[in-house]
Amino acid sequence: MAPAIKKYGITVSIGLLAFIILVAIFAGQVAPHDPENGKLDDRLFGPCAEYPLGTDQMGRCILSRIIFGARISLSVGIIVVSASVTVGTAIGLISGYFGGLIDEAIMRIVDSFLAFPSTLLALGIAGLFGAGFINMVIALIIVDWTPYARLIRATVIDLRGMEFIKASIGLGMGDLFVILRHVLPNTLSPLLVMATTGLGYVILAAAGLSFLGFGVQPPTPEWGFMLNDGKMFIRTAPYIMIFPGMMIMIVVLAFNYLGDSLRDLLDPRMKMVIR
Amino acid sequence: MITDERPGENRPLVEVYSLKVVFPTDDGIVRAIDTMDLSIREGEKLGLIGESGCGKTVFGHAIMRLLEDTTKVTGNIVFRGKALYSLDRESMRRLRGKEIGMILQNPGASLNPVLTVGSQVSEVLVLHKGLKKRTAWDRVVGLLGRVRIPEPERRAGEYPHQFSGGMKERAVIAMGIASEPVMIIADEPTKGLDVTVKRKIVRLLKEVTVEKTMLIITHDLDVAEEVCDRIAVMYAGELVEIAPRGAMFERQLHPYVQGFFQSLPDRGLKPIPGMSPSLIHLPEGCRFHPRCNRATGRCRTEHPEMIDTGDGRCVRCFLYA
Repeated sequence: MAPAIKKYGITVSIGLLAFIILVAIFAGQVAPHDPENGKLDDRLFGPCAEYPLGTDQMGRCILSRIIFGARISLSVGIIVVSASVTVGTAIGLISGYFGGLIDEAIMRIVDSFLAFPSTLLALGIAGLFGAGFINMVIALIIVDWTPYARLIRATVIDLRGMEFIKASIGLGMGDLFVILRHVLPNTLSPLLVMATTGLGYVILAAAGLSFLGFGVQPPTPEWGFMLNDGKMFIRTAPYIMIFPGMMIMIVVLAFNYLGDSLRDLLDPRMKMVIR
Repeated sequence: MITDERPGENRPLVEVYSLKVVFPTDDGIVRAIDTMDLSIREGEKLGLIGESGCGKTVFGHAIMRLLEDTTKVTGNIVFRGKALYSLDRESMRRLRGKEIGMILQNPGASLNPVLTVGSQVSEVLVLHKGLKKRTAWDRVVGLLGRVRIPEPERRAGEYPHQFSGGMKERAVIAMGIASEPVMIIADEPTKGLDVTVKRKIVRLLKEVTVEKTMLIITHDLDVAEEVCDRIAVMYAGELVEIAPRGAMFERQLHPYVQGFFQSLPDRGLKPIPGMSPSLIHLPEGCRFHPRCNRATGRCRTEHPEMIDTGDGRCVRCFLYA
């Protein structure tokens, strides 16, 4: 990648995400219209002065819906990723640190989860629980924790062979203390990278579930569901789909890019190449 | 059991009874330590010497019960009247660091890279001395000063990567002595240090362990000569000779030990022919016989036992039977 993109990419992606997060927080102040109740007279307007991104078939302002939809997408991403990271890290630490039978048992469970395409599995679970925000979040956590457990386990196994872990045990520190104080902080940088990239992935998966009708229920604005809403009008009013689609793409790309940049920044081997 | 306890001397602090350590690997069973009997007296500095892979580090870890779970240990090690391999995990953990301090080889890797050096030393104080984090800090600075780290107040807040190799070793020593243990196990404390730094570290180690019992594991005879009262030499997983320092440096009894001393640069640089046997496929009879120029028919078939030759010396060789 060109050095200039590399250099500014991280700033741009952080800036963009910060902007989107701020807009989502202050959605009530920023959005020009009510996202849920439109004027039926103003149906299917193209972008104009009153509705910068146009209106949908119910006369609802697409810009306002995108702004409010950011709340849903971001909160799903953040809730799912933080829960998955917590669960995955705890399980990975136990598995990697103690090894043996515990590790074997945990890893076979993780393997069985990873054997299914995760979106399909989330779809199945969401279908089982029924549609809705909470159920979608639960379904996504169930499929999302496994890679974190894997990553943490591998990092811990690496660390366990390190002299300073042996030294800590040799100095009489208990297992829990060694895990929390010496092992965990050393797993943070790969974890941060994976969680950042994971945010983008979860937002995409949530949009997918909502698109298929398993996520947030109308009239709550959600990007994935907005795509579904617009698919009948793709020939006559493509902007109904284009703008939410673009938002999903931008957010996912920004998180992915941020994740990549963090990896480059945190991995000392990569750093040497860049310098 | 060979006891070299003599009247008027301190009682033994550590007694090792027919210790055997084996661990399974993909290539076969490694007999890392084969029937070791040894005692370390209170206040004594014992040097455990041998080439790489002879089992000396395994012995250090065996005392601390730091071996992997797959390792099979038989026999026992008695420390201050407690049979270590009969203790439960929690009692063993309380003993580590508090009563036996450890200075591991490879100072570069013995410190956690993401924590400041001071906080790592303070952990030991908080854990074993029951100090509060804030009060521990003064002690940390004191300890770092004691191991001659310049500007200890500032250095305590720095990370391991800001330390040089010698400084890291000093910090590791500070951690080892922080809880004022009665015994220190120093595993290759001078590995990877250059000669001038090495000398300073050895002097420091001697200084901070006065009146402590120390097991120093090394392949460096200079270190052993400087620090130890008594020297034990290991070959292929077993002890082959034990002698007081003076006697050992004056005259070595076991042909391997003679060869080991002569192989060093300032003692002739004469290598011992052949290779150390693998701990998986050990030779019959005396383990050194394939490389020994004084081997007889008996050496090939019969395994020699430790022989007490008097004056606190023991040797595992038929020449002295």
